[in-house]
Amino acid sequence: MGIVARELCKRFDPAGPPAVEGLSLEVVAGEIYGLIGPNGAGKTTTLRMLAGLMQPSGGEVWIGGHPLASEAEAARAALGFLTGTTGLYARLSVRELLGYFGALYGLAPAAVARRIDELSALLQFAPLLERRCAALSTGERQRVSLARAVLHDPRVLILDEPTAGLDVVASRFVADFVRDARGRGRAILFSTHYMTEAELLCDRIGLLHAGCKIWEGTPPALKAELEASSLEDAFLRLLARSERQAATEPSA
Amino acid sequence: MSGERSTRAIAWLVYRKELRETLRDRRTLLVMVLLPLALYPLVGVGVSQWVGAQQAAREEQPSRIGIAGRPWPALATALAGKTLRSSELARPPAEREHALRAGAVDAVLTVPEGAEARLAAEGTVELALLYDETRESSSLARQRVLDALARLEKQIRAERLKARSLPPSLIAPLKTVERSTARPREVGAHLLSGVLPMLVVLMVLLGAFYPAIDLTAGEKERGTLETLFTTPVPRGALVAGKFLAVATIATLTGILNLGSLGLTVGLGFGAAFKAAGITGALIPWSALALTALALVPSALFFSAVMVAVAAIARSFKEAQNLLTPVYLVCVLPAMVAQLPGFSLTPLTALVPVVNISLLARDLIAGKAQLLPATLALVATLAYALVALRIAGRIWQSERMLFAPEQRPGAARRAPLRPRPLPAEAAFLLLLVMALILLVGNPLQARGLVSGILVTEWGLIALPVIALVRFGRLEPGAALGLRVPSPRALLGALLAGASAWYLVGVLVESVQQRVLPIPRELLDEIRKTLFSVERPLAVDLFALALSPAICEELLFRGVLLRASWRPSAAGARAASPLATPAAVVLNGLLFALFHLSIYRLLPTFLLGAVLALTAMRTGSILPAMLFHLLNNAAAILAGRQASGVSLEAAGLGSSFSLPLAAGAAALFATGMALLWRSGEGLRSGPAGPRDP
Repeated sequence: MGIVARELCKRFDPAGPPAVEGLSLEVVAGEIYGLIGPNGAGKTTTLRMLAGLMQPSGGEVWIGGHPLASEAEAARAALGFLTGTTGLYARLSVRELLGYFGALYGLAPAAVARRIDELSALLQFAPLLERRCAALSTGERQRVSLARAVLHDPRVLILDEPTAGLDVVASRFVADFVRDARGRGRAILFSTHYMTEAELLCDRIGLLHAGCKIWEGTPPALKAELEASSLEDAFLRLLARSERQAATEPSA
Repeated sequence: MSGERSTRAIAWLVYRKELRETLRDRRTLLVMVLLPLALYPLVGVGVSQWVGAQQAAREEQPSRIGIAGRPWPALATALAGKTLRSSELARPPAEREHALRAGAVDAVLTVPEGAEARLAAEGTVELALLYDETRESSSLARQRVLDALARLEKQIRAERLKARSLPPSLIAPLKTVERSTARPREVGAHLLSGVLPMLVVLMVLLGAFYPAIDLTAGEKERGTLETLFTTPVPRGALVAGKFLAVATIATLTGILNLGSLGLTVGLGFGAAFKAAGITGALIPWSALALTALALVPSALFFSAVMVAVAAIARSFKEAQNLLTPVYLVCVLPAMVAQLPGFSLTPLTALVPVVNISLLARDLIAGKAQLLPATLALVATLAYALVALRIAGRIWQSERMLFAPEQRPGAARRAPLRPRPLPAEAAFLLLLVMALILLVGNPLQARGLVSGILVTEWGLIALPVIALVRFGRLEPGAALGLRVPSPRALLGALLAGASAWYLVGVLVESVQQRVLPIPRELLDEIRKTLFSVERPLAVDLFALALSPAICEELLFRGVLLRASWRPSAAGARAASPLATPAAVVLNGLLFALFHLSIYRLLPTFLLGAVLALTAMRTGSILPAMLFHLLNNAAAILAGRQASGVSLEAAGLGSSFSLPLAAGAAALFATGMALLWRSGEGLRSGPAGPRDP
């Protein structure tokens, strides 16, 4: 009951190359799936399609068992979404912000208040609750954003580069939070630039290149297949192999 | 979860949050609260005090009257007193005016020789009063002298009647006592009803401006919209909540402004009105309250339009660029509605913005009628609904959140746009035409060459440049400013030098039969446009080079690029028209722009050919050369022979077949070269050069 994507496709320009093509993946409950790829590989586009922010040109998506195309609201209710560039409402206090999103997710005021207490204790931002979001530091903003994404206790989490721009302490905080969510049976799709983070955190990874998934499996399996010492090394070798193939294909 | 919740409940939730956040925004508060509550009273009272003080000072200041000639004692007495200071002005007549102009005196009264004797003989003395109407102190002096003389005349008249034992009524058979039925406050209300509605409509617009941007493009820029769209709520509820919040702010801004202006005018300008004999409350509060109610539909309408437009933008700045023309488009009708001659009729009640301005004017003046008033309100509400539906559609589209070219990791700053939007081009044309009508034509009536120069460079080229600069357009692509091929230039040279003659033949053979140009107009054109009294270089610069550059920038630059879809750009280009339709439209607009039915045909043909030239050559420069040569040839010919029009000067009855055949051959060669010189403008900002 996590994320299922079948033959996802996205074209921004009918005449141009596809941003994402024929992408299928599955993230099950209690799993962290890492989506990895160079800039422009199609990671963010894929995540936006999975979150229902973008209409796929082809293919289907299920979130928490709900087809996104026909049961969009139920699918979104089962989803928590966070991006690295997530902004907060600068002129609202942290409590007001969380209260607003809780209401948008249809939670009763009492339930919202209870969740705010739980999450502010878990994510250590209780002293900031009455502070305006504009006055928060980057790390504090990301903790509040995480709380915002899981306020309604979703079964599925999609995190688009959640550690981008964070310092070591804040990044570790996010990683611990993600592990904790896995422990509670959540299905987590995670995109990142940092290979070490992916190796440490992800149960499985999918490698995207030019809109296509070129490899999927566990980090140890990828390292073994390419006889690489680290995931980063394996990633670079895989990219080089993929580019060589792409260069020879048209003439073949 | 959200299935059971109504869209209305979610919209209400969004509304409350947006309102709370917006009211915490300093910029909104400044426009909404501080401006009306502080600025108007301060400025209003300040201005009124200043005006009052100035007037008092002026009234206390005696007028200096220079008297030329010798005044008899009674006149000297009449011209002395608290408000008049007379002195002898012993100068020759030519220097008296100079003294007045130099400000040495406020008025000059000339007393003829032997005035006293003529009066004693019961004759009439003619006094000459010299004054300067443009100087307020001089006008005041004139009034004071006339008053003094009137008193003196009355005294002399009474003495003469008394000497003959006749009653004063003999020379006063009629006496009129006049009284205006307008109550004093109606006069005040009438004066205010001209200005207040426009100001208030302007403020409602301004009230909607920033919140509309902040709640849409601003949210997009800050990255909060993406998060909001992942929540399980219908987008219709989101847009409804945001729209209502903007409308509330706009309404509050309007009401606060109306109240503050009413109060300022009542208190501050009260003194000024009192001085003019107008007393009592200027605008009844009931009228202000009704006007405030009438503002609600207009606030809804403006908010819906602004929320729709701002949603297209990707950033706060881009939204500002998009909304500024919208703001101006809304302000212009509000200003027009204040001109005399406009009234709220069932027809004008259907014109957006104009209707609300007129209704507010009538409400303030206490003259509103039920039927047109209701019609205006209903029509505005209907327009608001339509705009809201459009906004809803925009919010449903993916483009609303991510423009197609916006790829992950793309730079935040919007790139320069290769082409203007059709709406921008249409607005620019309307603005330029309004400027020419209101400013350019009066200037040209005062001085042809200077008027044309101001019109071409200031009223045509400058707005085009402003659009390119502030609309973030890429000048090369948006105006077609590219180096043309030598073939294109040669083609423009040949076609441009011969076109005027062919157009002239056509005018002579077709137009003169269908719609003959009146003889007087021909004479007028010859006299003004082809005057040999001006140096040729001046004429060539003002009448050939300037229009060639400035009008081409507007017509074959902005208007053509906004309306034409080059085949290379395919169906995805935003501009709507294919080549033939764009050529015809460009010719038509060029013809209409010249505002003369007698020049419709030649200007249409010229415009269409110039559009084709710009399209085929991929550059605006050949069109400029073409236009320059066409006008220059017409001027040269017009100076020698009798002109028909700028496009067809020099023909008259001097049509010659060999000349026409030669011109046709040159024109055909030129057009063939132009046609073959390229595939036309490219869609990209730096398309490949012509082969």
